[in-house]
Amino acid sequence: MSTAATDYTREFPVVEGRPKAAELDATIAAPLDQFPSRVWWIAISITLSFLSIGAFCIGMTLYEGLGLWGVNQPVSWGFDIVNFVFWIGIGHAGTLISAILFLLRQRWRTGIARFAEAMTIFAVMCAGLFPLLHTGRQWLPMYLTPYPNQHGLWVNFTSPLVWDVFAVSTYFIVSAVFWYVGLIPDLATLRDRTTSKIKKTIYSVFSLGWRHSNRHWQHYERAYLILAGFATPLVLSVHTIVSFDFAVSVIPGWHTTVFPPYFVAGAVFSGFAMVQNVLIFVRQAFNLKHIITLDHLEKMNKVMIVTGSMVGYAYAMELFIAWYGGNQFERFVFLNRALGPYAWAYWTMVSCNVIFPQLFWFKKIRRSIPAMFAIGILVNIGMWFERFVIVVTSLSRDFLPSSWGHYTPTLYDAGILLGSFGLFFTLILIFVRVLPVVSISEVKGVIEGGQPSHR
Amino acid sequence: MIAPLYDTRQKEAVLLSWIQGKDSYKETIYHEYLMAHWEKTLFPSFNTRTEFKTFWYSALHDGVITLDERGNGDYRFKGEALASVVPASFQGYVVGLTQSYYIGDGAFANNGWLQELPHPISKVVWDNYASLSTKTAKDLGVDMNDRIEITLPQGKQIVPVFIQPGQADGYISIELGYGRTNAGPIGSDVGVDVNVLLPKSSLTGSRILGGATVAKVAGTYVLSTTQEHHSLDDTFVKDLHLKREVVREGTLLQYEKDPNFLHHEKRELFSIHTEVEYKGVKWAMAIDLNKCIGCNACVAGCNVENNVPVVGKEQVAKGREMQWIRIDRYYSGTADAPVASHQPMLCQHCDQAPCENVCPVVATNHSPDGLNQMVYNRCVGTKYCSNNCPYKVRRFNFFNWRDHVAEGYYEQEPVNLMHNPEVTVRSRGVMEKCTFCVQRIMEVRERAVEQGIPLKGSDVKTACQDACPATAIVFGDMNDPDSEVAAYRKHNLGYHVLEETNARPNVTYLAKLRNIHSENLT
Amino acid sequence: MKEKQQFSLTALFDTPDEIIRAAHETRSAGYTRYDVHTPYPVHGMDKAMGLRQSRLGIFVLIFGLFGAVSSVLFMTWVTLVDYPLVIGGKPFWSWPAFVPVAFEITVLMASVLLVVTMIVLYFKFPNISHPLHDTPYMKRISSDKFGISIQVDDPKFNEREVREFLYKIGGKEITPVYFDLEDLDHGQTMFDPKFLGVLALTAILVSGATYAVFNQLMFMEPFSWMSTQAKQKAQRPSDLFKDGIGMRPPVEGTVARGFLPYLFKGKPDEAGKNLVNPLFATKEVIERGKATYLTYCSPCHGNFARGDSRLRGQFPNPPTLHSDKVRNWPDGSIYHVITEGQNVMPAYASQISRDDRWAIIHYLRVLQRAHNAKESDLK
Repeated sequence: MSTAATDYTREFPVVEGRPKAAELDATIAAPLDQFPSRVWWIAISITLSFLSIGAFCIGMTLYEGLGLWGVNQPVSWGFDIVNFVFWIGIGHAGTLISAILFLLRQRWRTGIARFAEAMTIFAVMCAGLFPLLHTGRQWLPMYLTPYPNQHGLWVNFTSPLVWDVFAVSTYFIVSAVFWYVGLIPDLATLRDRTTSKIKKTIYSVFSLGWRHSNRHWQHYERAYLILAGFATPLVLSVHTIVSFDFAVSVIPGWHTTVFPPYFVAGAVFSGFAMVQNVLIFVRQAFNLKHIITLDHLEKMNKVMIVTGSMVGYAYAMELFIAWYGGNQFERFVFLNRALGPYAWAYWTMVSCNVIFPQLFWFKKIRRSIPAMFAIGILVNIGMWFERFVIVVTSLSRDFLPSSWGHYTPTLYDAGILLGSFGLFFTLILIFVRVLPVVSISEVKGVIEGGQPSHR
Repeated sequence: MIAPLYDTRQKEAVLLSWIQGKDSYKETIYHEYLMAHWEKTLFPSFNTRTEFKTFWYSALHDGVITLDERGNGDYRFKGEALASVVPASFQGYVVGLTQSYYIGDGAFANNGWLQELPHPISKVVWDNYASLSTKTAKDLGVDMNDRIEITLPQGKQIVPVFIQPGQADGYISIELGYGRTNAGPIGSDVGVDVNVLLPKSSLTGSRILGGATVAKVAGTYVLSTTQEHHSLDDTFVKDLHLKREVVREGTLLQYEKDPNFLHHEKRELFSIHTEVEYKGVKWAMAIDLNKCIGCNACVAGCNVENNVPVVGKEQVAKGREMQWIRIDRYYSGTADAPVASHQPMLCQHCDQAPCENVCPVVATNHSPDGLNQMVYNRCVGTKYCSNNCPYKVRRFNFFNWRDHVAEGYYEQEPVNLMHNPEVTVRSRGVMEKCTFCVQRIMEVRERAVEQGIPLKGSDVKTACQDACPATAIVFGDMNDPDSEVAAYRKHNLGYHVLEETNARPNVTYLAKLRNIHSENLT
Repeated sequence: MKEKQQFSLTALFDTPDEIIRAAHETRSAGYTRYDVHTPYPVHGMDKAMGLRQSRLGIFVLIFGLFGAVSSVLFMTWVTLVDYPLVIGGKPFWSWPAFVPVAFEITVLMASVLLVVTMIVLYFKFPNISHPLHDTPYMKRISSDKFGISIQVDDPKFNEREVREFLYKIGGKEITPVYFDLEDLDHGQTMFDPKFLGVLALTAILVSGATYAVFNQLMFMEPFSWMSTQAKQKAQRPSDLFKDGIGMRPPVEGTVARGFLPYLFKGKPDEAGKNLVNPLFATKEVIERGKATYLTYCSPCHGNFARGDSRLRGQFPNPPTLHSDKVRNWPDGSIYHVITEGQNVMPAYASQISRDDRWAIIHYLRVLQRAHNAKESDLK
């Protein structure tokens, strides 16, 4: 740990050491050129087996029906929606890093932006799976889109689920476009350095004929800026709209105006924890410690303290408003969360999300890889439970005491959750082998001597 | 009266054809025999001038004839007979065996609809159980779903335990009719057979048997109920139904003193947008909680009318029962002397229905006559509507239930013929709920249109209303000021459940008045 | 064999400072058809090359506005014009609910069309047959060098001068770049059999898959569209009854409530004697009788019961109902005739309900009275 890096009065170097541009190419493209290592094969076989467990459970659900899950009356949403909100949240960190930090001119984002964006796309893919699966008739997803049909029917534009359809698909498309636009110069670089004919053809097709022309860079940079400008409100809108699924309803514990900011903060929180966790492995495995530095990780941990405290504030505010608002249904719901049958989930959530991240106030912990890894995992568990608490406890005991019920997840629920993790990590493992995990052209622009010296 | 099923013969016809000899069989043989018999024996005693045919048809039409059968016995009440009634005294635990409310002595055990009707008080389905008081359970050291062995001289049986507030101490009541071993795909091996506890000599005699010894046995047996059992002494959930004004009650005295006692706290319900006007007929229901006895006949009637599927015990335990109307039972008071309240709960067809706003595919929306309608074919099954329903009256087909229960018993011939042809049979993945018997509304409307007369709300009778033995349910057009339902809506005792959600329900409840001459009611 | 055609002359530079200076010099020297290639955007290059600001922003504004306006108009049309539905008691046009969708469509349109515009309109991509493509020059640029390429079609281009100029400003590895001859010769051909083959194969695969999924797979078990119902549908057979008919008429010999069998079959006189019209001649009843009469009776008996319908002459002539005979008939006799028929008139019992038959009789009496009005009626 260098002393310069912990001197907060100076900005830390974005890339440690003084790598030459050509060395960067070699480092970043290395995993693409080598035959996968044994560790990679072991990792992907684990993730693929998770994925196949998930696929089996999904297949059974499609064949038999949603009855295989734990959902019931009154708790008609269970793991499905919990996972959906969880994964969407994970995705938010990527857009935040790539778009918001770009607009804020945070140069340290360059090392991790590509990877975070990829995680966004994969997380949204995992998330998108659940709304499709959770419908009772999974073979009719087209009914959720306004397409001209022989029934003459459209969709209900007042339903938050329709907003979700638009928000999530827009988010996916825009994130993918943003990601791809960022990839074009890198693909051109890969095209020009590869020796394999097949790879060259593939890279040629996807780099569209990019030739690093400055007359192109000019528009490219403008477009990237505009895209970042759009992605920023978009990412905020997506989790806002996801929170509308709950906030727009009448169910006590859901019907809360604090949800949009609370959900966005929570999303960034869990997303950063996930990015941090995965990057710890990536920088180790692919020798990128000088590009994804400890300082990067520390900055992410700082973001986690901020967002974690925002989430904690939201928890406190919910309780306060429940008491202060004087609505007996609302009061009951929050007391029930803390003391009722799902109290264990509530306290898991509170401790993982509010208490443990506070340890990041200590610099030692903030810069210790094992500690931050453990806290990152706890945060993700906590954030998953946050969604569980919101979805399940509110539904299980709502207005009429006669229709209260208990939700018990089944093995199929767990299998599909596992499968979504399998899908996510499988996609990541494939990604790190076929595309540069760090934006080559962006990093080249921020290394020392990368820009003209007179400015 | 039904035409012969398959290639079968009526048993009377078979007997008659044996009597009358070879080749005498024809389908109408018994009909003709009966007519001839009536003509010979009953008709002359009426001494009318009409023809027999006229007499016969009117008897069939009315369904009844009045015979002069006045007896000359003494039917006055004999007070001295009371002396022969002495309180029985029993040693040990007393076991009371009663016929099941629904499946009787077991004759209807193969009827899934009846098996799945929740017990009026305990809400247990698909099982019989030993109902114990809290104190008895404590004495025996047993809890819900434990098992006890009951031993009587004539036999013994292991029965699951259910703790029933208000049960007399030392008294164990169990329902008969369960535990049949060969009752068909639905009724076999449901519950336990407690006929073994009955003495053979007294099959027709008393079913209250004293001197039973009871012991806890190992293992548990999970009973399925349609309602969670909230402890009566848990302050957290105690009397929530009253605090939340789900069930509103008063006393007769209170009402006599102040008929408007329910509505002193005036609530203003306003809308931030212009409200939809319903100019023609607008359907509404009123339920008088004073009349409701909690018998579940409405539930059974609804099941049959609306092709409500049977889901089976395990699924009820998971909370997936499909009944469109349910009777909610709430306890207040103490475990020893509980006060039970019944409340039929069905889709309230709210004017500002929360379910409609959230359906992404407009599968549920409002009809011009104020019905909250459900379009099964459009439903993709997001279940959002159910989540957002404050009354939790929506039901979801988690499986294709008919396929799922008893190996498809309910979709095989001839059982599938019991489905009402006027009502869609819902498949899996579809949400469903009370429609206010829209098929009956449509039938009456068709008739009105055909005859060119205006549609009259009171001509429509919903299945639950038809089934209610206490006429607690009233249905009709609330825009018709002379209708009964409009009068109920305006009644002093009328209230809506969960008024503050501003969903504007169209089911009005009339608060229950208890004639206890005390103002101590909570 | 044609001669090689030159595209440009290129030079490489090592550092960003050098390339900025070089770009500036090139511009000052008056070259216009040139380009600078850098592996990443170098700050200040736009100024050095004298490029105007990108106009992409205007496109984005147009696309975004298009998305916003079109989505709001579409939602308005759906909820107000095409299929207005009462949902949750809300007004048809609940505009606050349109905000999220309109926002998302705005972002989607603006960002996707922005990228498409940039790539297609500005970059003229995809294009992998550019002369600079796959040159050693481009490979160096892709890695860590910076380069300038001055094109042959520049008005000031002169091979020797440009070479000297590039050398002067510090360019290294000054090399000419040529067009690819094959590309110049062929260009792209639409009717290349290989291309058409791929196109046809794609068409077959896509339409086959679409058919298989949407017409077969989605209607297979366990996917349910509720088109097969586990119930007895109208007009469908059933094995339950011997005659195999699912819809059942009432069993022979039964009497339904309100439907006593007609007791005077073949006894017109008794019917006339015993039957009394159960309806009062109210306005509604007469209206109803009129409607029914016009539907069932008028085709033969004529609109005014004069026996003068347009069918006259095609059948044995239907009689007028204004004869003394019919006028003097009791209601029961007319009822009997409608119910049972007479001569060539068929029985109408199965078509006209009992009440309607009685209503017809009231209407008929009105017609008869009108046809044969007394003095007193005129008062």
